[in-house]
Amino acid sequence: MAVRVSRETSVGSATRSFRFENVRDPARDQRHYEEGRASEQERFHQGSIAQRVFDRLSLVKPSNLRLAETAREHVGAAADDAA
Amino acid sequence: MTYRGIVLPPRRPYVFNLPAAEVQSGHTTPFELIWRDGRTTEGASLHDGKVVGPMKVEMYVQFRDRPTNNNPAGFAMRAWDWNVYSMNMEEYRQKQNWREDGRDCAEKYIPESWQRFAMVVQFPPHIILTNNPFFAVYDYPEGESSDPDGIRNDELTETYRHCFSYSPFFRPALLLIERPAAGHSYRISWLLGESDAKVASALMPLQRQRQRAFARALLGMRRALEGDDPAKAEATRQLAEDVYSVLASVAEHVQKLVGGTPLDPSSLEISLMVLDEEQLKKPVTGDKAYPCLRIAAGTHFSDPDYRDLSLFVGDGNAGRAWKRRVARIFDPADKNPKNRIYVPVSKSLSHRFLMSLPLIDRESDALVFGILNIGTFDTAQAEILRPLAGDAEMEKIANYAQSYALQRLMELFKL
Repeated sequence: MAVRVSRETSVGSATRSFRFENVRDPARDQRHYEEGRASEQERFHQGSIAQRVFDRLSLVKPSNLRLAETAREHVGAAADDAA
Repeated sequence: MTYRGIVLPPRRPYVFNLPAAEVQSGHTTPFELIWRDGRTTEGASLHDGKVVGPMKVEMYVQFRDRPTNNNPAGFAMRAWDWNVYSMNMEEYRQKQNWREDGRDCAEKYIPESWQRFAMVVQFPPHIILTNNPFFAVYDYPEGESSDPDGIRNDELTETYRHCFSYSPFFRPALLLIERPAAGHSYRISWLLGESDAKVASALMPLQRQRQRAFARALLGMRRALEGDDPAKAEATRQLAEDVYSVLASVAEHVQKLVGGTPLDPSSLEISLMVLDEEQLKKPVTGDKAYPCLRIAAGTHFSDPDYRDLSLFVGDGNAGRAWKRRVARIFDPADKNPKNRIYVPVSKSLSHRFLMSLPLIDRESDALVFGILNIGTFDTAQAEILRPLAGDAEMEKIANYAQSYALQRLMELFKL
């Protein structure tokens, strides 16, 4: 769904919120959709922001969380050793 | 509120405890000192007390030098309560403590003898009222928690009736009383009506069903992954990865919108919140539980407070974006306190910039499926993200959220 947004205004100052208004723009819809889908395919580039965000999102399971904490401890221990 | 003539004993630290600020619905903000016109003694500073949460704040003022009889201290301070008023019955029904008759109110208890009491309620143009607002005095002989409605004091209401006025044209309700009787609550009430506007139309049962199915699927995914059943978790894994891919692509798009400046994923927060109508939440002041927004997928699940975060509709940046169906920006650098409606994740985890985008159904503006949050906990990264709050950038990111993120999520859940 394409939307047009407009900053809400109140007396004295513009508030920091934006109202949505549906507009029909199938071409823009399609372009955004394809761009997003393409980005999904590309996200596995190591070190990309998408890949790193994906990795963080995946840390939802308690077992994963424990692994992440262990990994951090290892990194901390390695840093201590190096020091 | 102003305090004058403070004198403290010769014992460090020189501390003046403030009464707690508490709201029954919505949330409050920490106090801030007002320095202009010498209203606050030099060397005064505010500190957090025992309780600092979205609904109750306890703080104290500490003075660098001891306030004495010869040199007493004083200060002025303010706090903002965000009470989340509804504009029509459709919004009201999503709130805690909603009433069938649509009655909502603003009330002030007067604890001591005051010279003058003024209370103004300015009704916005889009509120739907079924009659003119009205005034009454109320008492709570049983206490407010056991009898939240109170008992109307007809005698005092009649005494002060002439002190109340309302203009249907400009919509202010004004109560101005000289020397009001202490120990009573002064209430301005109004009755909300059903809206006939498209944007606030009541959700059709089928639409509501789709909204619930979307929320249930996402929260079910999270609970399956967090649960103890490995088979269930494994069965959900592929779907979860697809959902994470959508949010990761949003991160990629955000980075493009800020000109390709590398973003730090450790403080970049991307999350998807939905309305949880199964595991309800009790407000601190009541026994009845209500639906609340919870994070179905987010970048900071390693933090227990983040995992447990829940917001009533109307609370905080995301709750207000949901309620009003608008995209909202929270930016602590913004000097206008009215633009800083925000509930921090925890004492240590607080956004430095946050935008909450409602994912709205293409068929009905009244149907919000979820809130896409994009923000950061880091001050430097907030500088990078701040240009996203421009009109053109907001339109771009909002369109991307609707045209790609929502559409893709609906496909994934076959809705």
